[in-house]
Amino acid sequence: MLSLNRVSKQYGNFMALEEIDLEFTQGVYALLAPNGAGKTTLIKMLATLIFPTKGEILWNGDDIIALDAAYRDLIGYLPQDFGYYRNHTPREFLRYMAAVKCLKREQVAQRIDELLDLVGLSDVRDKKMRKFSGGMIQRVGIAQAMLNNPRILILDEPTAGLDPKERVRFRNLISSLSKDRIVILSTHIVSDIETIASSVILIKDRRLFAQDSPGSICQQLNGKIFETDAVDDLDIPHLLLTERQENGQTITRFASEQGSGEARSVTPNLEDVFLYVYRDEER
Amino acid sequence: MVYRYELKKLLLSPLLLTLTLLCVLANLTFLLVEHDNAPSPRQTNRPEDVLAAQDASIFDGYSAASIAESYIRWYRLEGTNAEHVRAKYDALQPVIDRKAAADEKPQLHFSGQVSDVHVLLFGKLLKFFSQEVGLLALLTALLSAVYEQMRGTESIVYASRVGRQVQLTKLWVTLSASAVLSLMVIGCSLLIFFALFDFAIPWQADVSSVFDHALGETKPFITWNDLTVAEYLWASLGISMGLAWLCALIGFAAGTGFRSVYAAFGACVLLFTAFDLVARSSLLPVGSMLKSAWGLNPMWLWKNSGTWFTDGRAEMLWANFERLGLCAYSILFASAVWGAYHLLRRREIH
Repeated sequence: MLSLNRVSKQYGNFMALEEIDLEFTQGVYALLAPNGAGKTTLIKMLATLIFPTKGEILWNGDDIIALDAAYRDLIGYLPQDFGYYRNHTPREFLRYMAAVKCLKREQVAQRIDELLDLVGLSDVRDKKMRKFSGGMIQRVGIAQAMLNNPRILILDEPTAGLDPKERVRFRNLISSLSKDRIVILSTHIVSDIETIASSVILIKDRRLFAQDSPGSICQQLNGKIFETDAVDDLDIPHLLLTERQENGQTITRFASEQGSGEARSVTPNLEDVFLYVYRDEER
Repeated sequence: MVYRYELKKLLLSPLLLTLTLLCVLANLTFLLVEHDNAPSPRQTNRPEDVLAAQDASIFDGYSAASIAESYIRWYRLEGTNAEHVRAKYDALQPVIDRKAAADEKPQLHFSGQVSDVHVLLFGKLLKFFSQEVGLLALLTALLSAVYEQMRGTESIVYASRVGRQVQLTKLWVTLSASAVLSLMVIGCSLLIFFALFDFAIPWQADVSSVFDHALGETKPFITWNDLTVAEYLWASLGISMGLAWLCALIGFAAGTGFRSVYAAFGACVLLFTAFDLVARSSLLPVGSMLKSAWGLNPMWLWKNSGTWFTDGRAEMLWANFERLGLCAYSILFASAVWGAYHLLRRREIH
């Protein structure tokens, strides 16, 4: 089990994260927060790239910093700004990553072929990566993260910059990888995690705001989310969430403590929760 | 495994290969110009010089004290500084006596063009080598140290099992790659040299006999140890290689410490400029221990490559100063690498 005990991170006078307590066992943990909320800071602490100012991060009771290489052997990490060698082929790049992950030489070729197959890059395995699309590069990224068959897969905004088709493909891939490991995924795109996350972690004002299953998180807004086609007629305090076009009408989704007139109550989704929780943090 | 991949990265780097090629081309151009300007052997290979040289004994009755006194007069040295210079040359007297007993005489080859070609090989080309391979090693080290950071792969490599220890592997790779690239520059340039200049070198003769006077000076070429010409060439190439490794060490320390190739390169340039400026200034008087100690730095050693294995003039008070300098700065720069590595271990990667 991976756990964070009262973890804080401070940069000079700026407190990025404050007293975060979390536990990860198995499944997809979605770290959902707006940009600048501290997701990447938390992810980088889990990847041992930065260190907590206070508190500790433990793997089965041992400090991950003290575990050093033994801990890093358990993780696979895909950073937000995934760098790669432009003049290498995916296969060459993965061979190098296999070397720094200390994979046994006899396993490397087979493992690389398996992963390139899994991420759908088999046909371009020997092509230079300089002409790859963003989605293809992200798939190389997930392949390098999976090389050592990690117990903990850490993905920082893995779908940023991908087109909708690639995002769906990526989502399915992550879902298939989460069967027997911890997948920690940070994102501010709600649709990325709505269907695959077993637990959603919300960070607000530098602190842990909520950690629960998507269903339970959404339940917190039960009876508070409404839709109407006459938003101008609303005479109650409300928070506008989203709008969509339907049968030539603009349907507005809003949050309110009470219903009003012809507004109908709807089932809250994660996007409603996100917009509701971070309503003060528009940037 | 990691070592092999890292070495491949450096040795196949277009930047380093281009620089290596440029060094060879620069040497080729220089040698071609020298070849075209060289007087024909018939004009300069004067038989009377050869015969006169055969009768001349270089060291018989030669007094090291006379060298000391000429330096003391030239630099107007007084007190302890003058005493330091006298003491150094007193220590050199037994070496001269030993060479005199061996009846060191100029070689028959030593006249006219052959002498010029010796100066070209041991005086100029060797100096170029040592400076070129030093610069090449510095750039190799900088590239190696910041390679992952430049390509944005630092975070995935540091989060791998090897982690930040990859920097130690990169250090060994840097030293290996520097050696390989240096050998390419030196090997190719020597091949060109020997192809262009057809002359016999008395490889087994004592170097003090072959160079009966130090380059640009009137005193004999007195080496602390007895070296044949071949040994002198190998030893000089060895010191050049050592200097290249020093550059690699300081470049690697700067690259690891600063994490910016420009800042690291700037820091190295500043350091070497400081070495030179202080050595040129009057802050450290000739004959003082401080001046001598300062002269152990790689920049001074480069600039005075013609004095390696010799007395080192009045600025240098110690025998075998080139090896002393290499050892001292190896320890110093290796400590800088160690310090930079430990900074990296604690550094946060954003």
